[in-house]
Amino acid sequence: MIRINCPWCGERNMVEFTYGGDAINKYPGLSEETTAEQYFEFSYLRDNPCGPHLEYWHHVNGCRQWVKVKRDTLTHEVLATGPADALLGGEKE
Amino acid sequence: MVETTVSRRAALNEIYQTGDFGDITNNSPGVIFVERRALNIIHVAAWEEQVDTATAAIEQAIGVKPSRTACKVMSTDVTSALWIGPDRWLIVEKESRDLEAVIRKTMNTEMAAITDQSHSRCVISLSGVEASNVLRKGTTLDLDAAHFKTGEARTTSLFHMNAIIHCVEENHFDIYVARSFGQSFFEVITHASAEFGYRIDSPI
Ligand SMILES: [Zn+2]
Repeated sequence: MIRINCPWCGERNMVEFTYGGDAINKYPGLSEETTAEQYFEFSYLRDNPCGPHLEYWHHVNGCRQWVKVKRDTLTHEVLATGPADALLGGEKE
Repeated sequence: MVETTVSRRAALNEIYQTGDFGDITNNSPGVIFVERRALNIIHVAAWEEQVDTATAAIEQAIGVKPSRTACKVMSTDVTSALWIGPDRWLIVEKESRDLEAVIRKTMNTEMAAITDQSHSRCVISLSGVEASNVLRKGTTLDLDAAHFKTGEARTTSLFHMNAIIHCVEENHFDIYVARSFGQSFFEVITHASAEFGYRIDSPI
């Protein structure tokens, strides 16, 4: 069982959270310069790291805030957490 | 308040039956249930840059300042303000006045979003020496009294349902679940209590 340290509520079991997807990739935005290729890349070309990974979790059965989590995909160790806009290291430009 | 012809009906009204159930020894039930009926529940979500103004306004309205400390409940004899998330509180009291109007008198929408949720919850009070052991069957929270203290409330998953657990005093908890889950929740929690023996007292 993974225990996630919610920045607001403290350490809670993962059953209180739902997984919210990859937090490494940056949303390409809606400007006119954004290309279909950028969206394709954002949507489908994901890394599948064995080791530290950034992801979003929603504390849905808790304070209902979005949490950014750095988790080791091999060991499930939670290395760092923060609010959704926190920089935990490893984000793509 | 707008007058309607619809009278208020508690979530457990159709199934509520007082008495002793389960494995009671020495006439001493491990758990006692009481449905808390006709509560006024107002959800206040303060805008981030207006939090100080908003909490001061709530204090002016209900006589106690809601806490910005996670899980803390601030109470007067009449009203409680439960922390349910950053800058969000549930203001709760037994129905006796128009609580939303009382709050809106000192607050406006520039400070916070104010929503009446009085009819949204089923609230069950759970007490007795086995109360925390019953909850332990359905949640991953640490219910040790040293960790989950009197005057704190935590939102969690309880028997797979979203619930707020408010520790009113040691071995006495008020549980808030969505009204539509009320009967289902009461069924599962009474089953979980059967081995300790439980008493259902008249609703308050
Ligand atoms: Zn949380």
